[in-house]
Amino acid sequence: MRENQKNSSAIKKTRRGIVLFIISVVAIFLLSACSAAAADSTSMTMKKDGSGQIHISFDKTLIADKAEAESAESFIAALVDQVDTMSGGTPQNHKLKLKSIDETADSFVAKIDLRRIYNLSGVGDFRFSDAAYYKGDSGDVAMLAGLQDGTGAAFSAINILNGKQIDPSISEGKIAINGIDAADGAQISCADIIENEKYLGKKDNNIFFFRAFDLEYINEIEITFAADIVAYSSEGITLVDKNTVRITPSTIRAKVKDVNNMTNIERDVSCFMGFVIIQPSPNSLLIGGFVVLGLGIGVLIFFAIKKKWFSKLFRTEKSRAAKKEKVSAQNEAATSVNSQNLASDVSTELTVKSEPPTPSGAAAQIPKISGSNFAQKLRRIKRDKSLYLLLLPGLVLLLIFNYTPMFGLILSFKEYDVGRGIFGSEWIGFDNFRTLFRAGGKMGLLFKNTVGLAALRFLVGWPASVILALLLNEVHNKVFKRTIQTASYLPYFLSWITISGILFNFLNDNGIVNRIFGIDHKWFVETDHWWGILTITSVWKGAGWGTIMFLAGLAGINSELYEASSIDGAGKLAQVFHVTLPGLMPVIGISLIMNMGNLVRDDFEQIIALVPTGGEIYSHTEVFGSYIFNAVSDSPRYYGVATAAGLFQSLLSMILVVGSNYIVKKTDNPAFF
Amino acid sequence: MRKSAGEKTFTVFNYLLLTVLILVFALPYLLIVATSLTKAESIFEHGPSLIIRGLSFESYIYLFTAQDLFLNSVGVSLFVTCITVVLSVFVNAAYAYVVSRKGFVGQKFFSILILITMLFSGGTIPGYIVTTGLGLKNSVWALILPGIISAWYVFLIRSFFSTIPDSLDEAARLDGATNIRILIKIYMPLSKPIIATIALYTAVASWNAWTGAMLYLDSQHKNLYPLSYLVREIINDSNLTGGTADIAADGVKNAAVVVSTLPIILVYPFLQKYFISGVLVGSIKE
Repeated sequence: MRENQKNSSAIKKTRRGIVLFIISVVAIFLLSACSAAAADSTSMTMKKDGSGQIHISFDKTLIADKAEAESAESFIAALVDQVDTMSGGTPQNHKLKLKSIDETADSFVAKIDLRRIYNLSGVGDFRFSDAAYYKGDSGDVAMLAGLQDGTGAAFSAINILNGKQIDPSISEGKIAINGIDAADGAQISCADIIENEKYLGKKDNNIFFFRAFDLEYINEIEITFAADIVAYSSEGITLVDKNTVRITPSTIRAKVKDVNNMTNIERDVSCFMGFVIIQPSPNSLLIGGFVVLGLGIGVLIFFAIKKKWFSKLFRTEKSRAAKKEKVSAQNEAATSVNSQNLASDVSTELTVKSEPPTPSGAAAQIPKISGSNFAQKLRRIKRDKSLYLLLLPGLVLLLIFNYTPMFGLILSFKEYDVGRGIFGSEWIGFDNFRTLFRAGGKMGLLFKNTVGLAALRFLVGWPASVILALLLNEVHNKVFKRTIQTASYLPYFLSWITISGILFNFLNDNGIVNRIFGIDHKWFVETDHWWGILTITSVWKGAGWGTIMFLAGLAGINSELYEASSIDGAGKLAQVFHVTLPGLMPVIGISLIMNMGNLVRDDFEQIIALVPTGGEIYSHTEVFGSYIFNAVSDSPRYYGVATAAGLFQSLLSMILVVGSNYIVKKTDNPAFF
Repeated sequence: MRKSAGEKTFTVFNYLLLTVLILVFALPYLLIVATSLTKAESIFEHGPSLIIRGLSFESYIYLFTAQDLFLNSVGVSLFVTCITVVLSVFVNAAYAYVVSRKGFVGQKFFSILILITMLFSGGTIPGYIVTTGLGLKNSVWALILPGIISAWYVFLIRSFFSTIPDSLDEAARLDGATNIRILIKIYMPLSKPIIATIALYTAVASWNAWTGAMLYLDSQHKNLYPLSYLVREIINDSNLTGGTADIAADGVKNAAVVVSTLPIILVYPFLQKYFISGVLVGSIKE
């Protein structure tokens, strides 16, 4: 009768355990999905470089002439495609994407989405430059100055696609371009634009130059930015709304050299030229997403604790007994980590604490000088001077290499200037965080990648470890068991560099994978399967090692339970569900929670070792750690932002770890702290 | 107990599956070894392969002769690893000893001081600024010093020390021993298992470490590159592997990996129990 009861409560436990597992999985998905959605919704503005929308209005008759036999629509589509390719767009990753072509009485309006544009070339030197983090880049300053007086770089000879070379810098038809403040329409000089914080100055605004010549078939261009417009150039631009400008061409006189037929004539040329200054705004969706998610998780955990869900799930017979003992025992815990012996099926009361309770209270290890008031403390210090000496090397190292950098975290609120050092650098409050969290900032991408990869690692690797442990437990041949254990533990001790070497053999152009499957995939160039590659290598490296904890837990399950259950007629599989898994629940529970706490941690060494530097694949897999690590070799100017990112990650991770530790404690199981 | 047919099937299936897994874990590494021992022509023609078509040590010879950089890196790694292990054991054991003495003024304070570092750290960039600020850029000590003191190890050792009976301590004190003496003559010898564990973990970590080199050693100081970092350079840059017709870059890269992991592969199977016991201290028990 009792056994039946035990069995059914065991089933209940397993069921609850599975429910908990599913909840964790769902929570992980929610977290990743949230961040992915937020990140992707801003994919139009992933970089600070003028992503947005363009409407190009083509003159119907003129474009029909250009298209010749083709239909105008397909000509336009081909044009957009060509510009996309020339700007580095690929079928997987378009820089420009034609959304639709609307037809009006006298024009075709092509609606195009822009993303990730640094340099859009083609279509007659139609160029968007990114002057991100503008702090007086000399090229753009020269460009601005040249625009103002109609000379210089902006007006130097321009080569265009169709073999024409245009030199607009002749005396007539020069255009002098100033700036116009978007707020009040006042004219501003280019010098003012460069110096004034409102426009460029020290702010993180972006400036976009555009110039296109001799595109007589384009009537006007309308650009919508994913940011607010602060100022724009004075020729040919009208402000439609705070995010949109409409650009119409001017006419200038220029020398046109046609390299195809070597003619050189002076004529009127249509000219789109100017700039727009935009101010990126905070990514409210991302921030809002975080807040909602945090609140949601907080509420969930609060409820769970209140309703003692966790305790009910993980409470075992022994821990119920132990709880009673705890209440009546007087024991001063001196250590934070309980030292335990390897699991055996002997009694479990062999928990070794820092000192066993004695009737007279805690035993002293140094003959006690009675009392603890100040004078006596001094006496003890004097007596223990040699101990302080022993402490010194560790203490010094601790202070220098652990605590001083902690003070260095203050860099998150500063703009680092190598000359002035950490403490002399200028205080900028939360600006670094603003830079990270705004539309186009790094936070969305980093969070998505970090959590996404961590979630994948967990979802694949954790069950793998559990199942492997279960399988290993069934192996009775000692030699075989030792072999498989050694084989599976070993990858854990290989560095990621070694694994990158192994990966090289597999994924190289003439590597194993390409050979076996007869394909010619360029693994180190194409982005496609990299999350899978990272997950597989992670699991290969860590799954074996992860079994250790579970094996220890398995060994601790009373073997009598197995015998009892088989007497009751339980087959192998039933035993797994009724004896093994319930017995393993405490370990599973703690391991689950620990892994949840690690969701924001990353294994940046893996990314840096395996992923080719720079490039598409890297931005597809960049995590907090790799971003910060690479920031070191970047300009020191950005140390503040990178430190802010690191601070955010550390804080979030600590909250998750401490939180999960608290939950584990609530289940009467030993925890980390 | 009689095994049912189902159980027998399961056992067979289990052993089969696990055998496959052994291969999954072992083969990639064997692949590297095999390719490193293959003639250049075979590599060019067949790519990396488990089957050695033409045994040859030319990749290894190239590594050790054509570049003195390689042998140099081995030396650097050996130096760094040994010093790190020695320093780490002594510094952490000393700290743990002091912090385990009841009645020591500040015991709780210093415990918490080091506990905090387990929870929270300054991060890469402040750490970089501090270390370079100390003038350690382009010095091997930047690879050694920052990682010596470790809260994990201190707590590990302290737990172990607490299993040593106080009577030994008291007896030694009655004989007039000083604290340092007690540590060295009594606690350390008794703590051989945990010391072994820590020494091994530290050695492996130090031998494998490369991010420190990437941060602190610039390309003018290649003579200070530890082996792991040099191997990374070799894998990523064919110039160092002499990708000419005579020497296959792949062969050399694989040879480099083999050499850098050899110590671990050779030593690990025999010392496995020390590695595992380190994980289980502090783990839970049913």
